[in-house]
Amino acid sequence: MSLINTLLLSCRKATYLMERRTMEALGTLDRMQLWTHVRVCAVCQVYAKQNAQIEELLEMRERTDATVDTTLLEQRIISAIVGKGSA
Amino acid sequence: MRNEHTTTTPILTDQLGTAEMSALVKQYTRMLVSYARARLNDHSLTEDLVQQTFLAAWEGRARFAGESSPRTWLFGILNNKIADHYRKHYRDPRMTLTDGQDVERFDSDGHWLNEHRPTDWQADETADKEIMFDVLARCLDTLPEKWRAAVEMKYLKQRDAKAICQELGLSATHYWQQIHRAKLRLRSCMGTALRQHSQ
Repeated sequence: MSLINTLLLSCRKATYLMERRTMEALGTLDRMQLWTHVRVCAVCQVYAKQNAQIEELLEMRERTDATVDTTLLEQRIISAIVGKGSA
Repeated sequence: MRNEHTTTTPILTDQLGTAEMSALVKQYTRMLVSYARARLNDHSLTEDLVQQTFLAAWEGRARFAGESSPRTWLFGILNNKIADHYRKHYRDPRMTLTDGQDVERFDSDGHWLNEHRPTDWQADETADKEIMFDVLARCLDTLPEKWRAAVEMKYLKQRDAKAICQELGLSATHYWQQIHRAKLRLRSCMGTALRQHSQ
């Protein structure tokens, strides 16, 4: 492992920490190393930007297929509910 | 056809009856389907889970009693149904954990290999959401089944890693590694698809 990796993390570790960061708080050292790595690594800057976009899409995603008609499904569900009665 | 009052939001009480419930079905089915369909790669499974959601809501209507909005209530049930599906999927030994297509993106020092360096998505600022959702959905479908399940759990369980690891029977480190690999693959797949799209 080169000196620069010890100080600044490798890109592999940096992208791994970016993933972990979306789910839990990182320790101080990890946080500082990640911050510094992204400051100096243009490739990981691109990765970070796209990763944030993907995170947003994964949270918000919807898939509306205009050709899919939900009327039949609605009727099926209502029949099932009525069939169960209000007991 | 029954006479429905589809335009007004029904008032929810512990006396929620079949008429009010039917109105909720008419109001929310499409919304729930489009949400679930984006998270599952199977249309009939989507419809099945939406139906189960309403039936569970109907059975549990006494507990609901207007404490949250019907929307929050229904989406909460649906999220649990989808998470349940992926939990079972993940624990099913027949599901694939890896595949031959996974490539190494870093050299032995952990730096990006030339051919795998992320480059700007030409379409990123201008592409409309529909295209991005579509590309994402298709890329998610290419993930090995267990990776897909691991990724989906992250958003269904509000990023609660502890709960997810417990449900999937994984160590935290193993879970991070898996979604890290899945994310690398997803990002790369999206880049390729968006480049093709913009050409």
